[in-house]
Amino acid sequence: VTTILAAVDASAAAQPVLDTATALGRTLRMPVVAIHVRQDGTADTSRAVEQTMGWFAGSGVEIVSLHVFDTTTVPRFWDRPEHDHAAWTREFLARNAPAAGIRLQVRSGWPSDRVLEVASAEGADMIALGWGRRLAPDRAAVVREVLTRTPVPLILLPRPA
Amino acid sequence: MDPADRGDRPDRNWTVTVDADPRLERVAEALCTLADGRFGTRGSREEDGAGSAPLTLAAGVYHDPGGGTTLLPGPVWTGLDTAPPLGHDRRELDLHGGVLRRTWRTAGGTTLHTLRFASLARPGVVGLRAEGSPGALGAGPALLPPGGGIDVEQGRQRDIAWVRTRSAGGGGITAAACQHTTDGGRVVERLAVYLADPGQAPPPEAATERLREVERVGFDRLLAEHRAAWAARWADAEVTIQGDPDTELAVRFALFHLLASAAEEGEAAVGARGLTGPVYAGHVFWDADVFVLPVLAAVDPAAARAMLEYRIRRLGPARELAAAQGRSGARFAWESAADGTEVTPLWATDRQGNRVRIRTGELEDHIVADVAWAACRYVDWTGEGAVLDGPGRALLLEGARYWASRVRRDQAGRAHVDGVIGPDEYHVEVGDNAFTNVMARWHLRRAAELAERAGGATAEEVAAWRGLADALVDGYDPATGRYRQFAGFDDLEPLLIGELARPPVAADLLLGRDRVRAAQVVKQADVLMLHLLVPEETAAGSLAPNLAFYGPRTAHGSSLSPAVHAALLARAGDPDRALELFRVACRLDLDDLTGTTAGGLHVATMGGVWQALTTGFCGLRPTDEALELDPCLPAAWDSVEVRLRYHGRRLHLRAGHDHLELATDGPVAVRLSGLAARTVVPPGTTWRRVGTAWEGESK
Repeated sequence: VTTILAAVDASAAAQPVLDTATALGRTLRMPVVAIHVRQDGTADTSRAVEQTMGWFAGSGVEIVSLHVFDTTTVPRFWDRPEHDHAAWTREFLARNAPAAGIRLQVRSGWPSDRVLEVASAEGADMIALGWGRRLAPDRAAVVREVLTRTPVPLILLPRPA
Repeated sequence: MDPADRGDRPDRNWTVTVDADPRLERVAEALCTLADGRFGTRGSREEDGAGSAPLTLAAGVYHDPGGGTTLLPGPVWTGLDTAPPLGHDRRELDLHGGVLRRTWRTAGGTTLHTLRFASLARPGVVGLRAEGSPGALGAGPALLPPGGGIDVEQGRQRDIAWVRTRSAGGGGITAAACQHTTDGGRVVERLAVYLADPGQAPPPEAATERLREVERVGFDRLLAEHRAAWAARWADAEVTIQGDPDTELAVRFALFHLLASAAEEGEAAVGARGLTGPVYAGHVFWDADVFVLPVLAAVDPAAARAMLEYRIRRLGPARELAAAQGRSGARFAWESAADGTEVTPLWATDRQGNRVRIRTGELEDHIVADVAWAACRYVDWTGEGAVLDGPGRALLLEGARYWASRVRRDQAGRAHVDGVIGPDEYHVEVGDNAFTNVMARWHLRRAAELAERAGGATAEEVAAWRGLADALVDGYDPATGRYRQFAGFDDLEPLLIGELARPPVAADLLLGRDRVRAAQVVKQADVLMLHLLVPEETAAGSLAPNLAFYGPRTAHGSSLSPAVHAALLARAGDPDRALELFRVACRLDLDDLTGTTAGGLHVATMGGVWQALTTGFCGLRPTDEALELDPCLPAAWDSVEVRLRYHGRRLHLRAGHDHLELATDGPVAVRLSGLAARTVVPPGTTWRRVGTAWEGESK
């Protein structure tokens, strides 16, 4: 399960994010925004997500976005890492996080582990995760784990259920 | 009728339509690239829009900006001062005419049309015509400098603008352009000329002088010439698949870009993405030799000869590379650019963000035999044996000397090749890789034959090559009919990729480098590649058992892999499964299955598509003495028609499930399963299938 993403589906939800970023912008470093894009290129993302990341970036916050590979998100083809990594990363950001200055990290494995690992390695002051707004026992495993284990504040970005 | 066209509407079976999607803008640009073998221009929008990356590249003109050798961006000729689209925005690539059209509607309700071409008749000449309304359409500068901190000069000579980009090494690309606005501002017509030289940036005067010549010819005549040139090119290359129009269009799309990827004279450095984008930096790999050159040898022999010339002219650096490794002969660089030296990057980032060493440049020795194989395949298709007797001879002989110095003999006299990477790059520094060893064996034997016929090696060398070839271990087990991929492969963790993910899948990203290295998971056809390239060097009947074993272990993480497997599945008598993988290969760029098409098209995969169609489904195989034919079509296809050239003859093959027809412009020796070699006399010969064999009659 890797559905962790930055998704904001309403301006009412986006505004607090912007306010937080603006208010804390000068003190925040590198929140991790996880993006989930499937093999076919579709993403549980929206224009609002791009705007949110753009606002963060525009407020002086350095953003590291994270894409975790699993069986549904790993690229089908990876000819040569020495060439494809940079090309794929550049295009991935252009499509999914086009705001200037956003860096992309990719990892493989269990998403919550990778989110916390990257947040630690990057010295992140905040983590932003998408959330489907459902807390049934079989849902939101990644959100629950990160919420339980994170040493830094976590922003949940609601996305359409 | 499209006002900008002023010609017939294209056939839908020859037109790739791309509707705008802001997220996929750069993919559309790559798909709609127009090239003439020397210059390539991406199909970028005319207005300066977000996400757009207009780019013109020149074959073989590289620069080194400090981060490694890459193709030099040239001046941009496609910009217009126009209103952006709101809603409808469509590009149509006419494959038969080599023309890109675009139609879009502006916020003001105006519909704009553009048409552009990169002249196949006059390489380096490009044209753009736009029609709209005075308020929505303005010409803007005829040429723009590229971005990215490139060294640029620009100026004017009366009504002609010129721009020149220079590489750090002194080479450059120079363009000159003129344009006219007519019909009260409704029509903009632009012509431009490109010149390029890898050693010295061409003077602007030369470009402006050539532009004045083509200006006198006129836009419409240039366009007509260009269309005629493409029609002539297709007359030797057309493919028709009755019963599967989508696949037919995809194959034509692949051929269109292959035919545009190499010039027909001089030398042709065909990079991994051709002239369609900046990714892979224009570096030349084995992809060019093994996947692209054979196609052009059959449909555009002059372009294939130019590709061969690229290797011939880089024998010097290949000798130096072998010497630097303490070897004899010549060892081509795994990735090469202008001067033929090794330009493979040394580092990459893995799936955990770690920096990892890349050793393909150091260890992927099979490039030596790949180049030799391509040279021989060129001769197999064209019949021009004089190439190998003359300028191409050293490609084989110097390569054989390399293998002779690379091979290790054990105490029992068996010969081994240690420490290599095969096509399956998941496994690094392995010994006795079957692909490498068998290709080396084939190479040594062909070099020995050539030296006996054409000289260039001593009798002692020839005898040694034959002895080495016979002594090379190949990992074949007669009991199973299977080749062991490399020494120790059978001891690795058994792993069927389908149990983890549905292939194609980049297994190294999913599982990690260490895991795939320790497992029987294969990136792409490795042992199986032998059955495609040198089936005469494989054990009779070994295709089926090796397909059965390696097929489920292959992740197809290389974009080259699906087409190869499709070809071999067809040869193994399973054309319906072959079609599934064939369609993956056909759609690789059209559906951006890699996520990297934005950076350029996978021209080697396109070459694989054509080879899967011809070698796989049609059973076409050129040899010195005859063209072998053995069609095996999937149920979804009614028939396949292929046009190509063999030994100087033009062939039109039409294959159905139980019917085969061959039209030629002269006698051609062919061999069908169940028939001895025979001569076909025009206007044609037909055969009908009887059981597993064919019975024929001449018209």
